Amino acid sequence: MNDIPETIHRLRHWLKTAIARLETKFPYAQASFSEQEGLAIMSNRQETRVSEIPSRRGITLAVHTGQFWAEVGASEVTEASIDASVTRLLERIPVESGGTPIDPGRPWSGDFHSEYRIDPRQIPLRDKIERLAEIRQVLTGGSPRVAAAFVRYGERIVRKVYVNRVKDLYQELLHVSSVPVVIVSDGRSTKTMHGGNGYQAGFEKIEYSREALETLVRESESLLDAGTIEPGIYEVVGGPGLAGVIAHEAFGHGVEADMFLKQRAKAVDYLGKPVASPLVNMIDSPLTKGYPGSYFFDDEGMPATDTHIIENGVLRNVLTDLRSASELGVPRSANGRREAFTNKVYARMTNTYFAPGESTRDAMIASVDRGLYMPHGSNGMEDPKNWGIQVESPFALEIRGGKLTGKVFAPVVITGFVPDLLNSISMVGNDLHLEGLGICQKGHKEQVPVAIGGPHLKMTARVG
Amino acid sequence: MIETIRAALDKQDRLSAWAISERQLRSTQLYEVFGKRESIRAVDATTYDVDLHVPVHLDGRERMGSIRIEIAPGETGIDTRVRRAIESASVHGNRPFTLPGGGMTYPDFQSADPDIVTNPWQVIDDIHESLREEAAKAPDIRISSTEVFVKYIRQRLVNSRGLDVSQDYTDCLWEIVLFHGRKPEESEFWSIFSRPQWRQLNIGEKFGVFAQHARNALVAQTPRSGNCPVVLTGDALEVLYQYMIHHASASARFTGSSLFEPGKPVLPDEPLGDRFTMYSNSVIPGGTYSRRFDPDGLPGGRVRIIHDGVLERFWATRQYAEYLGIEPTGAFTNIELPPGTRSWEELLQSDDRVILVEQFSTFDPQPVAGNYLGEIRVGYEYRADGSVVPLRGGSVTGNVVSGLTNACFCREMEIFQGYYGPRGVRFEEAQVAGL
Repeated sequence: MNDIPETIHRLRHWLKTAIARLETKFPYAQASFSEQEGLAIMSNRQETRVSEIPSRRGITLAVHTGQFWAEVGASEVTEASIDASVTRLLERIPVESGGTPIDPGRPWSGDFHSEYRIDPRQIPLRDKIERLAEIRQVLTGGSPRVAAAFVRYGERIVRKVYVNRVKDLYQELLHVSSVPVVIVSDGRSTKTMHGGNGYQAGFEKIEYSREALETLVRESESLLDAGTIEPGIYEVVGGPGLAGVIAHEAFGHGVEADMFLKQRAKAVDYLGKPVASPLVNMIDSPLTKGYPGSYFFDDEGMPATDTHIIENGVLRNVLTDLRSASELGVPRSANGRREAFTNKVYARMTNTYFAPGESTRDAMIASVDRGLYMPHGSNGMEDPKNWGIQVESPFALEIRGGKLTGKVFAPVVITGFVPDLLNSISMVGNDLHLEGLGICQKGHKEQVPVAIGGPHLKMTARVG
Repeated sequence: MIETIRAALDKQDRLSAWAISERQLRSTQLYEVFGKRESIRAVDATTYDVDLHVPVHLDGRERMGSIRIEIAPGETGIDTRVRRAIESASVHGNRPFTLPGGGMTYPDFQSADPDIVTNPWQVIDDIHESLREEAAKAPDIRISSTEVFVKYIRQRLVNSRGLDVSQDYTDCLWEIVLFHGRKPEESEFWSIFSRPQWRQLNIGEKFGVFAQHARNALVAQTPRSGNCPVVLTGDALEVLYQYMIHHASASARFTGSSLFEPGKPVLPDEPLGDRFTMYSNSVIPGGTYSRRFDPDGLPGGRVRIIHDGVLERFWATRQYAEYLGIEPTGAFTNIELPPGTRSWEELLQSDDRVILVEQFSTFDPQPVAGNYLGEIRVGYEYRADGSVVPLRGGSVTGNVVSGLTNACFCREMEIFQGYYGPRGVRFEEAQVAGL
C-alpha cells in the first residue's frame, strides 16, 4: 500500500541532476513536484456527476540569485523538459551579490505516507454513489420543506517531491471529504445549510449519523423563520466552527511572516506581549494528524512543526516560509506552502485552532444573561495591518437568562478589533473540534486546504 | 496531442459521445516588496480535459453515464485510462443529452491583449513603469507591495459531433498595497483586480483613487448602528446578484432549488424603486469572463434573462436546456445591467445619511438565500449637511431580495471585473452594525 510509483523515483533523480546544474551558477536552488489524483462525485435526486479531479501536476525549479527568487513552473514532466527549464534559468537569470544567504537546512531524506484504514480507491464507484444516495435520502425525507438536497464527495491523493542539495523527500497524503447540502423553501424564500467535514484519512470517515443529518435539516428550516438581529454588543458563545474562523482570521494571517516584510502586520510590534485573555492558547499544527493542513514537510522541505502562536494570551511565534525566515532572521516554521506549481510559496497556515480549556458549553450558555449562541462559523476576512476582523455565522440563537429561547437570527456577522475580541474571551470550553473543509486564500487568491477549530468560547463582540 | 487522444477515443465502440478541451496557459508573474524585486516566475501549463459519455440501461430506462478525466501532456497508456473511465461512467446514469455540433456561427470577438501575447515581460515592465510614475506624483504614499500576473490562455474544444473551435484570451491581475502616514498612525489600502488587457487596468486613474482611499483610511470612523440607505459599488457588484443568477438558472430549476417561473416576477413583492433587468453577456470588451464560446462550445453573446423584474428565460447550458425543453443560452458569463435613471450624486443624497461602501473586507452573498453581509473596509457616510465622513469597520447586512424591492440604480456605467452596469445601486434599507 505504500509503494512509490516508479515515475517518482525517476523524477527525483532528474530533479537532483537539475539542482546540481543550477548550483554551478546560483548560490541556491530547490526543486519540487506535486500532483493529485482522485474523484469528485455530486449526487442529487435528479443526477449524479462523476469526474476525476484536476491533477495540478507539475514541477517547479527555483533559484535564488543572491537578491531575489526566479522560478519556472511547468506541467510537462520529462527529463528533456526539466533540462530545458534548467537551461532557461541558467541562460536568462543573472547572479547578483549582497543578498541574504539561503540555508538549505539539515540533511534529510525520506518517504512518508499519511495514515488511513480504508483506501477509497478500493471501494467500487457504485458503492460510493449508493452511500451518497443514502445520505441524500435522509435529508430529503427530513421535512416537506426540503426543496433540494445534494451531497458532494471528494477523494484526493496528493504526491509531493522536494529536492535541494541536502534534501530528498517524498510524501503521499490521502484526503477525503463529504458535504451534505440541504435547501429548504417556504415558496417565498429559500435557505441553505451544509454539513460535512474533510480529513486526511480514508473512506472510513465517510459516514453520518441520522441525527446529524436531521439536525442539519432542522437548522436549515429554522432559517426560514429567522429574524433580523438588532446590531449591538453582545455576550457571545461561539462553537468550534466560529472559534476556528476567529483563530484563522485574527492571529493566523496576522502572523504570516511575509506580511512582516511588507510591513502589513501589526503583530510585529506585539511579539512577546499580551494580545488576548490569559485563557487563550492558539496553535498552528501541520503535525496534528488527520486534517487537510497536515503534512510531513512543507513545500520548501521543512519538517512539520507545531507553532504556538499565542501562549496564555501572549503572542509568541510567527509562521514563516524560507524567504521570510531568512530575511527576518527568525527560526523557520514549516509553513511554506504553494497552491500548485503555477503559484509561488508564501507563509501559510495549516491546521489552526484554539487549545481547549476547562468550561463546558452548557456552563457558558448558563452564564449569559442576554446574548447569542453561534454554533457555526462560515467565512471571514483578515486585516493584519489594522487588526480588524470579520467573522460570519449562518445564524445565531438567542440566549436570555442563561437559556436558549429558540429565537433565531440570520445571517449574523461579528466585526471588531482583534485584541478587543480576544481579550474579551472569558471562558474556554473543554471540547475540541476541527473542521477541514476550509480553503484559505492569501488576500483573494492562492488557495490551500486548511483546518480550523477549537473549543467553545465565550466572548463579547459587536454583532450585526 | 488532441489527435492522439481522439484516436484512442475512436477505438472505443461503447462511447456515444466525447469532448476534448485543450487549455494552454502561459503565466508571467512579478512580485515586489517596497520596490525591490522579491520573485519572478514563468509558468507553462497544458491540460486536456476529456468528457466521456456512454449509454447505460438503468432501472428499465435509457440513461447516459458520464465522466470527466484529465490527460497529461505526453501521457502514454491513454487507451487503458479511457477503458477504465468508461467502466466508471457505466455504473451510473443521468438523462441523456446531446453535445453541440459543428457549423455554428461564433461572434467575431477577440479579448486577447496582443501585448501580453507577444511579450509578457515587456507588459510587466510597462506596468512597473506606470506605477513608478504614479507613485512619484504622490509623495505621501508608499507602495508596500505589488503582484502582477499576466496570463495568456489558448483553448481548443473538439467533440464527437464535429465541433472544433478555438479561442485565445488574456488576463492581467494586479494586486497592490499602499500605505499613508507613518507609524503608529499609518493606514493601508489593498486592492486586487484583473482585466483582459493590461491597459484596461487604468493604472494612472486607479492609483489616484487608491491613494485617496489610503489617506482617508487614516481618519476613518466606525459608523453608528442602525438602518439606513446603502450604496454599493465596486467589485461587490460582480457578486451581489448571485441570487438572481442562481434562481434564473435552468440547472437550479431542474434540481428544484429555483423560486423563479418564466413570465413571473422575480421578487415576491411589488418593487417600490427601479425594476431589475439582467443580461448574461459574454462579449463585453473588458469583461473578465468574455469569451467567444462557453465550456460546451456554444457561441457567446448577449442574452436578456430578467426584464423589468420578470423572468424572461432561464439561462441554460446545452444539457439543462434539453432537460427543460428550452433554447440553450450558454453558460452565464459577465453580468450586465442596464443604466438606471438617477445620477451617481443623486444616489448619495439623503435627509439623514447614506452609507457608500467602496470595498468590503470580503463579500460573498449567498446564491440560494440572497443574504449578504460584509465588514466595511472602505466606506463613506454622506450626511444631509453635505459632509462626507470616511468609514472603516462595522458591517452592512441585508438580503438582495428585500434590497431590490426598494432599490435604484445610477445612470453612469462601469465595468467591475465580470460586471458591466450602473456604477452603483442604492438599497433604501440595510442594517449597519457599528458603534
